[in-house]
Amino acid sequence: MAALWASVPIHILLGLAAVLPVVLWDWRIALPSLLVVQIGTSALVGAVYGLPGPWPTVHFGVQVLACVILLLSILQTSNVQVQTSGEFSSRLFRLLVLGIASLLIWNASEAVELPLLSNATKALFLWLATVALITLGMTETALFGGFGLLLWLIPVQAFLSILFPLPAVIVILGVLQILVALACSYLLLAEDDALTLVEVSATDPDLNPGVQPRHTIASGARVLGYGFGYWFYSLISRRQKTDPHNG
Amino acid sequence: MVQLALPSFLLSLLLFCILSSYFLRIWERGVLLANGVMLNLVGILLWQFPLNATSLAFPFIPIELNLRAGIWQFGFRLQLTQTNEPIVVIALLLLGSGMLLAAAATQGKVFPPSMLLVGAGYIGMALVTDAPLSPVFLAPAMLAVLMTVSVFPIQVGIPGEAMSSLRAILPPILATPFMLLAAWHMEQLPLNPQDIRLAATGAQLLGAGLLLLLAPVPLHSAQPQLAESSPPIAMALAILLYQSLALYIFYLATSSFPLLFDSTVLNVWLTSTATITLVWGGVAAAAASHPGRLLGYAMLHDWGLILLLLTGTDERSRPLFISLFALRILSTMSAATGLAQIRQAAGSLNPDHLHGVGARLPWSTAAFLLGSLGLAGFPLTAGFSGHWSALQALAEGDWRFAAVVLVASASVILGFVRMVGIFFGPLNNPLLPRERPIGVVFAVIAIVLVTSMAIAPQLFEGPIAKTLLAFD
Repeated sequence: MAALWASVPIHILLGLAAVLPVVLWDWRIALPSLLVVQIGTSALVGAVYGLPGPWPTVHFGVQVLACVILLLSILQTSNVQVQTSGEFSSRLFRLLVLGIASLLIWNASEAVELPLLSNATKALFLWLATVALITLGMTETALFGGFGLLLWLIPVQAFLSILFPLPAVIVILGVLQILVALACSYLLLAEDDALTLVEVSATDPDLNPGVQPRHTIASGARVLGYGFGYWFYSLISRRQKTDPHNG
Repeated sequence: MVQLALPSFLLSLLLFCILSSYFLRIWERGVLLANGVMLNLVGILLWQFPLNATSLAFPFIPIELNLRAGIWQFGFRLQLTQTNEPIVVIALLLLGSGMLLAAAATQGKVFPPSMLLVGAGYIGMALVTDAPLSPVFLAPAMLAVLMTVSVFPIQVGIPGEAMSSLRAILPPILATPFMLLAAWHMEQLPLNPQDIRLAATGAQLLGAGLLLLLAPVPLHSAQPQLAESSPPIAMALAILLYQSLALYIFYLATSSFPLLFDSTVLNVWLTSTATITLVWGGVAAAAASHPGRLLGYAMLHDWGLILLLLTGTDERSRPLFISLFALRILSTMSAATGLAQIRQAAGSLNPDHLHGVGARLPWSTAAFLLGSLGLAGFPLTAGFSGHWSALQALAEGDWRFAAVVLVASASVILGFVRMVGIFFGPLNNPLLPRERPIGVVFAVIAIVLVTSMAIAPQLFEGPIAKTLLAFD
């Protein structure tokens, strides 16, 4: 089992899983990719680097929780930037940046010293951190800001757990992951202009005059219930062409 | 008689403040005033009371406070020491004054409990004297946690501006792996004392982590953006609390590893990024027309100067940067007091709505301008003495640094000259309300404090001497 997780193809697959959301720029790809990268990294540090039993599971559990928190906000927002899949030119640009970054990592990874890691794992962790930084540099939304931060924390959490398998370090970083998800989920709602207050005209017979929210937040349980079904439905019926706002 | 360790007392007090400000939020103003007075009182008492005294008994209350006792929890030891006392007091006073000011200009319903929670975290972090890893190396992770929680008070009620609060989280999150990797290298040193590379790599990583934590250019963007988009008092508290702890961690690291400056390129990087920070703060301030953003750039300029003084290794630089940071706190809080009142009265800080605001809100405008100009070291403001001493110290080393600082400060002042023109120009909005009495009271207190420091800077000598004693 350890040999499988230590193999280069698995490392490449995990690296590609991290790249995919940055190229496609779509939350329906981003959250599953995060989970794939997390499960792969957790299995890697558990099977290959001998991290004691519960911790890889804890890492994965925390990431699942973080993704669910983000999902709850995504499903309640009507912000067009969250729903966008990006234009061809911007995808091409991101692909170009990622290509240059991969060349840099390829050349520089031998010079970087990350103790206790094999060369393949070292390159993978550096790659994940680079993809996270590229995402953070390119995003203007809380969703992909959150994706970038959570992606940054995956190799950081894994590597530091190998260096210091101490509950204090693992718990602090786990708490940080959940808080980042909570903060980004809150910011997602804050940046959604449909949730802002609007002035309701006194002449409108159907509404009381005054300042009211444009729409209310649906209950968390209902959203969670529909969440996964909606995710699957929206993934298969994803629009290829986007309107001019989706730059 | 109940015996209580001081950390338990402080954290219980903050928990009480958090719960009361949440559950009694209907009486927001009263609760804010009560909590503000209480926190300020505890901060002042803590500062006044000699730390070598063992216990403190309260009249009529069956509680005896053990000042030296610590608490152990989950491998962390929390204890008030001579070194962390100034930071704890600064955090208490900042929180207390923040609560008082929020009573005059509301910062949103979420602000009081969430900011108190953040403040409790900072105080808890400052009190940590022992941990499973050295507190210096764990600090960025803890700061990242606290900055993430800070998103809630600084973003409250502001739709549309999400990235500025997210950018504020970045420096500590980026610094975390560097510092913990440095910790691993330092831990390996006793096992391989012959390996010089271990020590050198550890020091380089520690230096890189500290640099990221201090957030000079290019990690500076959160500061002006938050100043533009967030409620002024929430912004001031979030930034000042973070910077107080970041400077404290920097001090702990450089005093634990005195060769950090000599064996790494930290000094070169810090000097160059600090210079760029203060120059950029000045240049951008000259072009800024939004009062919040202008304050943010003035704060950035001042922060660059403080970072520049951090690189000094002679005896004079430490009192200088301590006094400059203390004056920064005073000036920023004064500016935030005025700006919060203006924002409340005008509804927003859009410069188009602020023409002639000085005629309707003279005290608040004066508090804002005096505080902000203090950050640029303008004569007859609180920051003047600190900036003047810093300029002299820099000129003794290399006159070109002093010239750069002078030009950047003049550039910040230029930005405020334009703002004065807007504030005291013809009134655009005749419906703009006049200042409320409670707002006038706080603005006048801010003006008195700022001008006292400008006229008699020796008033600060006592607290600075005590802080220096703590850090020696």
